[in-house]
Amino acid sequence: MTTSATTASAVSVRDLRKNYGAVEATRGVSFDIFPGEIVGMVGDNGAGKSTLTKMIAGDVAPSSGEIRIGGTLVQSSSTTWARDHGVEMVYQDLALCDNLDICANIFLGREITQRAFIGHWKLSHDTMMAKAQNLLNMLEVKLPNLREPVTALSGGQRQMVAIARSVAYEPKLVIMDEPTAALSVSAGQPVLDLIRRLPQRNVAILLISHRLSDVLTTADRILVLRRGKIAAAVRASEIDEAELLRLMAGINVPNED
Amino acid sequence: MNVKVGAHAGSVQAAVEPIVSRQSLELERSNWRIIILIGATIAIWVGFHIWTGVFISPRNLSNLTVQAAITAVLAAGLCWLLVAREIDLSVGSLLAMCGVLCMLLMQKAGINAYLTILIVIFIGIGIGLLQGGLRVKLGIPSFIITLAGFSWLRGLAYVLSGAETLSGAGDTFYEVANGQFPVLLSLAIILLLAAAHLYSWLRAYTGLIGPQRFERRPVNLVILALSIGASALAVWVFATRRGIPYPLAFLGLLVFVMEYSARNTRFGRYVYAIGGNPTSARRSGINVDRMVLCLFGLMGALAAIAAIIQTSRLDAGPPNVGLFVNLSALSAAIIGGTSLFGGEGRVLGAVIGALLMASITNGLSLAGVDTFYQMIITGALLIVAVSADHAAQRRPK
Repeated sequence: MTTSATTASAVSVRDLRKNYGAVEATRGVSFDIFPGEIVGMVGDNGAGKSTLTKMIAGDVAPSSGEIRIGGTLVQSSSTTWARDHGVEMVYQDLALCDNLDICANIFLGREITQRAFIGHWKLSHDTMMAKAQNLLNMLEVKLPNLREPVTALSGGQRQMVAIARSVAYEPKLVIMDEPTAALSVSAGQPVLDLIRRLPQRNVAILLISHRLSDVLTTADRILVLRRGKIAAAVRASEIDEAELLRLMAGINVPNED
Repeated sequence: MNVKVGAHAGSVQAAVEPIVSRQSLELERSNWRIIILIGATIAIWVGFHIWTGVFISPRNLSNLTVQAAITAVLAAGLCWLLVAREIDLSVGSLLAMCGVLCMLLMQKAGINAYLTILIVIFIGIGIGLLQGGLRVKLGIPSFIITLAGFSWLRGLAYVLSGAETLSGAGDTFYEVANGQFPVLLSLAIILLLAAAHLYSWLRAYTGLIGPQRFERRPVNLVILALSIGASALAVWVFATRRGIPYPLAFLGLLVFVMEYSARNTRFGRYVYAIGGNPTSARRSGINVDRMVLCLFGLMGALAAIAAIIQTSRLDAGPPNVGLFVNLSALSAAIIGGTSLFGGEGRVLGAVIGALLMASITNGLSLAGVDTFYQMIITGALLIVAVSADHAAQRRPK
């Protein structure tokens, strides 16, 4: 919970701008997220949330400004680079392979292999099973059988698998893009509980959501984005939903910056 | 640190016990499916045997495997393409083109059989990669790319051959599809495979050899019974008068490698991941385009190998061969449980699907029934197999 300014930030964004032709999606955004911190990001459609997250995830190249991941300056935008340097994304659309089992999904793209009899690389099923079980135990996620295809899981359980997968390789930052949008409120609750447990793993979380109540109850700090700029940065404990809505819409903004 | 899988809370002594885990549920489901398919095939064999009196004989069953091998090799390649949400309609035309090439290389260019086989396989891979490359680079659905291939490759087969059938490839080439391993070697191979399977089975499920690795499930007993039955049948068919035909040996090796890869290699797992959710696969860092390209290359190689078997069997390379083989290979894959929508299907199922279809053709011709009826039966079989799948999938939900 202690986030002093002296600790190295997990992600640091300085004066980030992106133009699509004449349209300015973001107009100079700066912020830091520290390890073990959940930062919520809210804003109306078109405020620049998705452009901003895509730039951090390496999906879109910024027009100007800089991004540092764990202190390392991002030189060229690439999702693989971002992933290798500890930026993970969790998407709203439960992005798992339905036909693969839970264990296979957790390790997808990063399977653990070993040398086998004719010198080929063979998947280490036992190691992956043990590691997956270990991870889920630590995150206090209870799932029936890890060899069950994820089709058999509920939406909430799937999203928890997706989140477990995102923290499996000790990332610096996990960007969660509307992680509860596809879920009912009751199904989303265990997912939010899981997100709240993640800072214990010293990971920084950027939580984007349209459900303001989710952001208010889950995040430590909230960044309000409006027309490509950060309109306000507030502590979640010091604000209510109505005030947050006013900030998003730009009505009666307490003019500080 | 040891992780207990499926252990009850509070059991202290469990920490020393070996981990006995459940095998993949998806694997178990597809195993049952294949067992049913094998059951259906056996029923067809028995039925035809009662009807014709000669169906279940070493001679006929040996012929049957060679007849099925051509479709089965194609069905195996198509199975993985379908699993990865791709399709290839051009395999029949590629087969004809490669068959024509085999004869041209040997007769007109005077190249020996071994080199011819190598060249034709490389040309098959090349055409597969070309189609895969067009699919990936241009983003045109593989249905359309290979529909074009269906046409231009067939045209090329006619152009190259001058619409004439070259025949007589020489003894070496003839042996490829018509030769067999010696009987004693065949017996040794069968017994060795049976022993290896028995060993791994005992090791996995009983704890008699080393620690037990997997839970005992009914499906595994059925698999053991089938394996023993198949070994006995194989000894009778392939170790009494004629040995294991070369095409069957190749097919067996192919099925083993592909089934093994599907479960134990990254490549195999990614084929299924792409079929399950291409976006998720891409986001996970899987190079989907390269995987698709590889699968088309593999399909090209398999089509070329099927062409070599076909040409050797006929001892001729007619440009009009295999007009419908793309559709029968597709039918075999689907009867074998491959989904047209991707993510689902196993090579073993596709190959048994091909065997089942070949059994019907073979049985009807033994019974002296017109082959037209075989087409009607295949059609009915497709609908029965797919609707049975749908019914089975709806039940557990």
